[in-house]
Amino acid sequence: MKQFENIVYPMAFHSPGIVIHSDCQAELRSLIERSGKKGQFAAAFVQRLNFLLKHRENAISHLEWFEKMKYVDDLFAMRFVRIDNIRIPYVITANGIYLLHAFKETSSGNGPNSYRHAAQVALKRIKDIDGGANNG
Amino acid sequence: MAETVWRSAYDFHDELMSEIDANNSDYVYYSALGRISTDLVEYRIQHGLSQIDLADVLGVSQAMVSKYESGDYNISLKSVVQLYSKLNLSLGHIFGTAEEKADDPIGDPGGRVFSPLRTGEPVPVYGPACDIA
Repeated sequence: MKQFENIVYPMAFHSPGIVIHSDCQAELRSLIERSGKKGQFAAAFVQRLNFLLKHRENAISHLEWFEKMKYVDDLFAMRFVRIDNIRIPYVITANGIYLLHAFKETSSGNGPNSYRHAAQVALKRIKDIDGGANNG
Repeated sequence: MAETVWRSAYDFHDELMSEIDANNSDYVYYSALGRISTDLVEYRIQHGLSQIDLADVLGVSQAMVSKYESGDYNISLKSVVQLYSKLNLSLGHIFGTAEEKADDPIGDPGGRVFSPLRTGEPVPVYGPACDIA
């Protein structure tokens, strides 16, 4: 079975679902490890996934777990206020919901932990969606 | 440059879960708070209620409803029982460990399409129950 491990299956296997960018996974891993709250995060994360999958664009109007990202139209974010203020910007498309980036929101302005910087990173990763959607 | 790979967010969650005990007290506790939160929000949506409306039904302040819905508020067990009783909601699933799979018709969190090819699991056969002679 080893030879099949690297096969990337088409989006059809997940669609309509929620997918996560490989760099976002790495960022989240780092943030979770540093927070020391893996159990709390895992619980909060799956609850947000379920609610987002069900309510999509309307999720932000029902729960403060979600918000509209500043500076960019059509970009939203999951909020984990009690877990080091982690944010996960995402975009919703007809093909699925894409988790693009993870950061610890600590500053206004232009710093690496600001919404402005996070929006720039997320927008860059949106460009990966076409390729990703075609091959995995 | 590393190739971008999009992966199911539920698979990422499953990976995290494989690194902690399913009975991890934080996981169980915050799962329960999250369920209470989504139960109240779903109730409001279903009945077309605002937080203020729900506060009136429950006999608490709107600020308290907001806290309940945050998923972080350390609500007492007694309060939970009282809330669910007033709303005629079932308490049964709050401390369950497999609740996330409840909404999925094919037994996979969030309604993902089951892929035995991807997971390597045996292909399940669905059909009416029957006695085997």
